Amino acid sequence: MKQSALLVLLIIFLFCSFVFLFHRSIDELNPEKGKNWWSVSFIRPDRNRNIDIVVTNYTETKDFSYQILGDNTLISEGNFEAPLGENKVLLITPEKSFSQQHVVVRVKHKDEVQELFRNYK
Amino acid sequence: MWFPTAFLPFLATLSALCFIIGWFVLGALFERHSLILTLWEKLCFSFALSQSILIFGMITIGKAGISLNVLTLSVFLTLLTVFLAICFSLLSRRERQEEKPPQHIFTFSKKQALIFLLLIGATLLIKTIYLSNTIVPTATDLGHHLYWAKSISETGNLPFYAEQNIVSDPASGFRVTSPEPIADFIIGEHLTLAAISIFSAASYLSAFPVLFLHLINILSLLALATLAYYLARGIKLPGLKKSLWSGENAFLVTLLFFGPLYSIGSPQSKFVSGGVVGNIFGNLFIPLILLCLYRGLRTKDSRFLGLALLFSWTLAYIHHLSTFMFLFILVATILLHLALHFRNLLPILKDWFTLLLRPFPLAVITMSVLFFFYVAMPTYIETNAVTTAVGTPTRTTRTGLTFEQVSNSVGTPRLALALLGLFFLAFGTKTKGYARSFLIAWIGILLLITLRPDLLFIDIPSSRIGAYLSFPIGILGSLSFLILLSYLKLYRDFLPRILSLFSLVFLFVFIFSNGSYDNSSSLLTESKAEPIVATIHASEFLAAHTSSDDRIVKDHNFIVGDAWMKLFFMRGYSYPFSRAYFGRYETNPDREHCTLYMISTPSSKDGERCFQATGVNFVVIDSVKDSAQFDSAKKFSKIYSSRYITIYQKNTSL
Repeated sequence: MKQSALLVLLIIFLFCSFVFLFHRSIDELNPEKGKNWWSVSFIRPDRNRNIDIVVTNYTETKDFSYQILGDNTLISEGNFEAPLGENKVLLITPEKSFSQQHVVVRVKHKDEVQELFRNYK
Repeated sequence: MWFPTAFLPFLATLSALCFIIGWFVLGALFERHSLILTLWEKLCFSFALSQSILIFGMITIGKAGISLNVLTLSVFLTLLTVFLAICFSLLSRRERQEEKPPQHIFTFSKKQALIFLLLIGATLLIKTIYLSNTIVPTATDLGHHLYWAKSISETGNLPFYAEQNIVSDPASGFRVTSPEPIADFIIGEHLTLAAISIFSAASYLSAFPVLFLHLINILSLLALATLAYYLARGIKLPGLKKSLWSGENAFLVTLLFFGPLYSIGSPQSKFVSGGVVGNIFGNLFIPLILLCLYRGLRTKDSRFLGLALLFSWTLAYIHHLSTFMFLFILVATILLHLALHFRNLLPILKDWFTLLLRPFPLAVITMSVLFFFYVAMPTYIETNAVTTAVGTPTRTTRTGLTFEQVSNSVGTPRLALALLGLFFLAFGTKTKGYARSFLIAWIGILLLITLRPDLLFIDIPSSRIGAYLSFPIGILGSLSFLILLSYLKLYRDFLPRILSLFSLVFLFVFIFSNGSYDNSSSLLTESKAEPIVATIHASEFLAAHTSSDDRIVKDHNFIVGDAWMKLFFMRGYSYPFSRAYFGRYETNPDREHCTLYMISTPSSKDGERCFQATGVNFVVIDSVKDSAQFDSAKKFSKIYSSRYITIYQKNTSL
């Protein structure tokens, strides 16, 4: 059998392997595909008193809630929706928090809770 | 990222940069339809030649102060390729004119061709399944390498391999040093990856780096099988049946021993997914150089010797350890061959020098010397790093492996067959040809360095040297397997039929079970896609909210793909600082401990002192394992949180 025919078949095999792996990496790195996690962060970490947040949702369900606690006392709370793949911005800095020593932003999604906090002591 | 727009430019660039330019130059060296090269050699030589042109070309452009971009690379590489093709063609004119068709032309029968396709298909299938779960960018080594490749493609300049370290300081306790040279990285490891990214705009976070290494791994299998083909043709043992003992069969059995069997463990696909770039290159270049040397010496064709010199020189700019190992193999082979032929020393030496003093090898030597002294030396020469690999072994990991560890590393059946092969070679050959010297020296010297590095004053991790041993062991094992089959066939009339059958079945079961076990024990059960996506997200957040004035420390023990974080900042190789594996602090008390204190005990006196001395103001940790000590600390704010990663900011004075 001609070597060149074998080479062509080898290249075809290799091409198939490359296509599969490249495609797989794109899927794996796509945060919206087959993932189930979310994150919360301050929008302006450089501003000490600003506690506006952004929630990035990579789960199928979009219902979230939040609470703001100042020195362990509830200052405000609310519900919001963040669809899959969206960076949901929440401008929630209450004036009341400016005088607190320890401010916590607690975000809940199903049974999972994530917290951010600021210490001013 | 849409698949065709990302994949097709990568594929086109890979073909052009890694094959076409080399194929063009090879065509000038050998006749286009020359029969003295098998197609597998043409494929592997084209790749290696392309690497030589690309690496030396890019270093020359960079050293000349010209920016490395699509335009300059296109123009310069085209000119260099054409120039080399003309030079090589002129320098090898006599060899091409005197070229005669070989006595035997590599051809597969229909049955052999089918077996080849089955073997290569199974190899690619197993490797692809393994890589599919490791294709996301998590490997530490690959992250480190790609930082340098990205710095080349982003800045258009050759990188200055340096890093900042935290060191003890009598005045302030600790301080961050100015960038200090690193000897561990060699430019050739990064240039091709950078060039692919420059031409195709491929993202370093895509599969392209792993696919590039996957390609080199497949080529190294073909190089090993081709080397086995020629070595088998050079070994003459009494009574070997031509129907079984042929170069083509040796090619196929070698492919079996490196392909479907033992295809994942070190130094194969595990090294590919782990991004052990230098070793992967070395695993292709060492067999290729030996193949060229063997063919050059056997056929007295100086073109092969010239190629061997060129590839050796290229390897020196890609990977120091592989170059080091190759030099040992080379010296051992020369000494052994001369020792075996001590009655004919003068004619042999005369033959070698006649070959070496032909125009093509001489031109390669001249170009290499000029490049070394007037363009660039390998970084490990400049930083005098060679001395760190030489001396009495200092750590337990460098004092050699036991025979059992070697056996587990290379595969017990392959080792058993190779030892039997050594016996055949030592006592059974009619001639003392190069095949015998090459194989015995290659195995002998690597076994010696692996088992007793102290005898040769080598201070390198023994497991890394052991990885090089699997190649000669695999080749000789496959040759020995063929010899055994051949002898079983030869003596079948003298042996009881049941004994022959039992021996054959036992041999196959022994080899297949061990080789498959090696594969299955390396397969991952699940992908790390979700945690790495979380690491990427956190890195993007930090990159957007910090500047080069900020200092970051992150954890290497628990965060998935943390080594890739530096690619989002591009603010220095050691940015962000990293808490290393805990064992590193215990085994090396002289190592700085600030990175440990700042994450493990941030509120302790040592922790406080380290934050102050280093200026670190952001901490990135695993959300589950390390958050307790920061949640209770008063001097930090938690600014980013997810199931996987949490980021704390050190409070500034309010």
